[in-house]
Amino acid sequence: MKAVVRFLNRSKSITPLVTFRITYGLLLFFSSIRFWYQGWIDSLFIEPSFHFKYFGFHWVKMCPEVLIKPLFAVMILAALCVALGLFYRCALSLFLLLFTYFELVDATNYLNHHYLVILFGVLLLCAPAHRYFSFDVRRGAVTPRSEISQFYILILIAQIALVYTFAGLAKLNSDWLLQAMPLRIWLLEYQDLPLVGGLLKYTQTAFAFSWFAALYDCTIIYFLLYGPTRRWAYFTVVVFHILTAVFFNIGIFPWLMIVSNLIFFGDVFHKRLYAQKNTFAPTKENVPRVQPYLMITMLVFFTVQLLLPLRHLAYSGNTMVTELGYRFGWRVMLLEKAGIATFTLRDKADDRYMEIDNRQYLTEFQEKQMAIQPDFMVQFAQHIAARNSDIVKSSAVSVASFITINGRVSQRFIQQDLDLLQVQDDWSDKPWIIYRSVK
Amino acid sequence: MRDMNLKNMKRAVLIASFFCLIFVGCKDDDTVSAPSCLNEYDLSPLLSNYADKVILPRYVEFSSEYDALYTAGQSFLSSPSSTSLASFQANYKLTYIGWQSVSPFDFGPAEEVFLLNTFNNYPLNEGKAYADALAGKVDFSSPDDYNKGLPLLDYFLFGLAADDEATVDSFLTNDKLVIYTQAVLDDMKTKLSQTVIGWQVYKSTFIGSTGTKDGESVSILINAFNKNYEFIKRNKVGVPSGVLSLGFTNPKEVEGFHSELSLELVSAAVKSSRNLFEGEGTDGMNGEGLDDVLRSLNADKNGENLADVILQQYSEIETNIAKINGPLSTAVDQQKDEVIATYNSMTQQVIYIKSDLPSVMCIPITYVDNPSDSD
Repeated sequence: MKAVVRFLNRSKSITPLVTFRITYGLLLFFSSIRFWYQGWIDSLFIEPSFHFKYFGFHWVKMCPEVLIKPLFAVMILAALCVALGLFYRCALSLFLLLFTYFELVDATNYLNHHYLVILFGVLLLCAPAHRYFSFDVRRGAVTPRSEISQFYILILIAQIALVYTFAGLAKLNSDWLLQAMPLRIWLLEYQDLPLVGGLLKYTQTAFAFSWFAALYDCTIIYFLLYGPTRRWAYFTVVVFHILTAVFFNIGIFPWLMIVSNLIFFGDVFHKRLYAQKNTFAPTKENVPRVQPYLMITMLVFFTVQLLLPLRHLAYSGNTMVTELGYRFGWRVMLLEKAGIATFTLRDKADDRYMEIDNRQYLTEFQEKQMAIQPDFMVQFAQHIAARNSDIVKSSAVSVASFITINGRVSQRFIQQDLDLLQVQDDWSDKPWIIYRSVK
Repeated sequence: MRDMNLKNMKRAVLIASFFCLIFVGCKDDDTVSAPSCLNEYDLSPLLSNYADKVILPRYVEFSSEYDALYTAGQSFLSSPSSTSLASFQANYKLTYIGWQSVSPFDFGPAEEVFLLNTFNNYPLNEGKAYADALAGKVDFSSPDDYNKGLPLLDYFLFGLAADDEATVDSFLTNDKLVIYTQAVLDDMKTKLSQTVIGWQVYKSTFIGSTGTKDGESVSILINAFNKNYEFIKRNKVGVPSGVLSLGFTNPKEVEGFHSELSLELVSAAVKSSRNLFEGEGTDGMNGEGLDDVLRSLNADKNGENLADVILQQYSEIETNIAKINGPLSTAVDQQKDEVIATYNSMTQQVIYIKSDLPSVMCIPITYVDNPSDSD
């Protein structure tokens, strides 16, 4: 135990942490501007009249429309301040608060890499990443430091390791390895690309990509940790993630991984980055030890991080089909999945019924997401009943739901004629999901 | 430290290969559900058949039907009489039915000139159309004005007055109606000829785009096919039948209400959709169509080929329609069960053509128009 604590407190140059802070801040600064520029504030936050919620976060409401853009602007500025190291802890807290808020406000928009942004942010918040090459140092608010406990770097590495490992494990399924699905579908899209396009229509190419990606995700972390292989492992990181950026519209994820993986490089590399600007001579300082409460907090944090992606094991069936325990598990790019969900609102009192036109309630994107996620269907059913309560007093809502997964024909997803108003949307198993595993 | 990492690495590789072996070992011989996909499938014959044998000939055929309507319209408008009205009405009916055969192709040149909105925005906003006519307002530039096209003719030729004699009288006495109707006819004529000319150029683009991505021909075709089908289901049958409004019927919302053509139009639209699926040309020859793709992909649905499942479903829909005595506007109240049965059989087909068909062809639908990133 003592040895572990001593190991965690071993001092290391602060520079890898500083690089992480700066790149994280800049990336989020630019990607948030891009988010705005693409018109997504309007299409994802303002346009929908209804928002899907995460379990336990139904209380998070969309703020008044006039506030959305100002709040978003504050978030963008906060990200810039994080990069600059100006009012670091305040800025990062504010950024995290707003970023998390905009994530929680509509679960339709869930993205694994946005979740990762939040986790990285929390870990950064614990670390003294503003103690060097920052405006906080320049304005004299904090004493500069050139060395820190390596604990702060190791927690970021641990988080990256979890992401890769779980993403890799998720790929070890028969669709991915034995059918090259869904890459076969997605690569097919690019068959008229110059140079490589011709290769993409071949099933063999999809197999090669699938197996390489699985192997990459499962093992890259070890090659990055191991000194002699680090350089070319990082080269692979860059190539791999740029390839994914070319082929899929996965937003900032490739760039987030490319910059955050720099943390694996040692002092020599990072110090060189700042060599020109080294405004103070490093002294033999007394590196403060990490507080025990922080160590315990991190222990809890990582226990949760370890268990959350595995919670799907508690449910019967395949999480790729049922979506039970799917989120927060680093299951990325695994599915080409689509569904049709037709809801019927019934008046139990006089036996009248009507079919619901989803588009009168949801945006096209929300409808698409809802049609493959059972918890959204429950929420939507409640919304349908509420919106029509003036014309239907004693309501029941059922759904005819069919989904297709990775090139298969469709299957009925949800128990027919079940009144969705009678079921709870919580963490218990949902036996009314009748399509549970793929052949 | 170095040794430890090396050990870790070796262990990881070992674990990974172990996992892989397990999964390879678990492979069962059940290949029935193996996804098929369009890998190495040459789409050119399919696209050529659609362009050369289906779409262009249908436009040519429809153009000549429309020309006849236009001529009949002009002779009625220049000298309104019961004879010229009868000829105008008869040609209107032929043209409206003929329209169903080109309405699925709402992309490319047709989309550019808003052909669909020009010909068939219904239900007509009768109040606006009549007011525009009296005001001499003949601006049809907005695709969202429900004041023109074939629905306007439905109203003016069949619904404006109590009987044909009175209709002739209105046109004789009110010059504004004559001018407005002529403008509506001219509007359709212009847009249609622009579309036909546009297709001569667009044809090679259409045939040459052999990928599967959003925006490539096969994806456009399948989307248009589905959009049109859902329009038939929802607007031609669903809305009037009351399934979307707690069983309260909307007889006036049928297509071709005044001319009592609604049921024929539904039949024609379903037939057009079916022929499109089969790639059947105007010459009656069954060329390479979506059904042939499904057959060569061995797309299995409950033990049958998906192509057969879809064709059987079309037959079931046709059988259900045949049980209805037109027009639909009265049937929605007098033959409720038959109309609902038709609607339900149409709903079943949506699963096959909107969900199963693109899935087994591996036409990605996940990303289309996402206002967001994915992961």
